[in-house]
Amino acid sequence: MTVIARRFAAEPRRTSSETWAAITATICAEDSGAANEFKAVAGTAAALIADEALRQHPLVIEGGGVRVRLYCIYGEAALDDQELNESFLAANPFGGDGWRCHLPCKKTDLGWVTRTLQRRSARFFAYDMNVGLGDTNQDGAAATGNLTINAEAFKKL
Amino acid sequence: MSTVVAVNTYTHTVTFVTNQLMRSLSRILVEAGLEPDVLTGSWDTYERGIKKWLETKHLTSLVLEVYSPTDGKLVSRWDICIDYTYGKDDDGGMWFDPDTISQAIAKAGVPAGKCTYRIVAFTNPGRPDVAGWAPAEPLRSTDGFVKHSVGTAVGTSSVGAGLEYWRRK
Repeated sequence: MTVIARRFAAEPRRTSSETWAAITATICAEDSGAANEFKAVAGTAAALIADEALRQHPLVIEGGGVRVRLYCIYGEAALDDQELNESFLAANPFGGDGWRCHLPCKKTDLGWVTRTLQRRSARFFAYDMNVGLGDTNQDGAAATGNLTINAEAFKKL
Repeated sequence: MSTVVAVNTYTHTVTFVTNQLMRSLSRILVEAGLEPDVLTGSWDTYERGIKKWLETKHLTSLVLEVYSPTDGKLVSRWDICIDYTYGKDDDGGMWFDPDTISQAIAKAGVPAGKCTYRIVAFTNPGRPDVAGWAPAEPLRSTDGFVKHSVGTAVGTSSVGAGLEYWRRK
C-alpha cells in the first residue's frame, strides 16, 4: 500500500483551528464529502492539535486507497518552510465508502475524544498514542506483504 | 526589516498564547472530570475572540465558571489573568507548563456531581467585536469561596498568563 506523509505547521505559525482548516483544505481538496466530515470534527481535532497530540503521533487516513500519515510541526520548525510538506495529494485517500481517519490522543483523553468524535462523524476514531494504531509501528514503518515501508523516510521528502 | 520582524514576533506570540489558553481551558475541564464538548463545540469562536483581543491587547482575563445545572450556583471557578508586561527582559522564548494545571486541579479538587460550565472573557473598553461573542450575564457569587493563585502557566517575552482557582472554604 502506498503511504503518503505530510507535515503541517501548527503554532506559532497557526492557531489550532487554523491548522485544522489548512489540513482540511489541502487533504480534502478533491472531496467535498470528506471535507464536510473533517469540518464536523474541527473542534475536537483543534483541541488535540493544541495539546500537541500530532507532534509525534500521526493522523492516519486509511481504507480509501492510499494511506496518509500527517503530523503537525510546532515551535521554530513551524516557521521553517523546509520542515514542512503541505502539498496537495496526488492520490485520493477517500476512494469508495470505507475510509476512516484516526486521531491520536493521550490514554486519559480517549474517553471524551471518542464520545465527541462519535457524535459528529462515523469516519473519525481516536487511538491511544502510546499504543499506536493497528499494523502501523510507532517508528512509522508499515507492513505491506513481504515488504516493509519506512514511512519515516517519506517524512523527509 | 526590523519592524517586520517585530510584528511577526508579536503575531507568533499571540498565536502561541491563544493556543495555550485554549489548551489550558481544555485541560482544566478534562482533568476536573468535565466533558469539554461545550468548548470543542465552539472552539473556533472562542479561539477567534481570544486571538483578536490578545492582538489588540484588550483581553484581561478568561473565567471558566463551573456551576450546578439544577440550581445554577457556583461549584468552582478558574481565572486566567493576562499580563502584557510579562517577560520584558526575556530572550523571546515561549513556554507552557502543563504541570501547573495538574497541580492546581489536585489542590482544587474535582467537582462532585454533574456540572456544566461557561467561559467568559473580560476585556478593556473599546475592544473590537468578534462574531459569536455576546455580552455575558454577571459572574456568579463567590460568597463562601476563597481564591488561590497557582502562578504563571504561560510565558512569552511580551505576554504572560497566570492561573487562579476558587474553592469553597
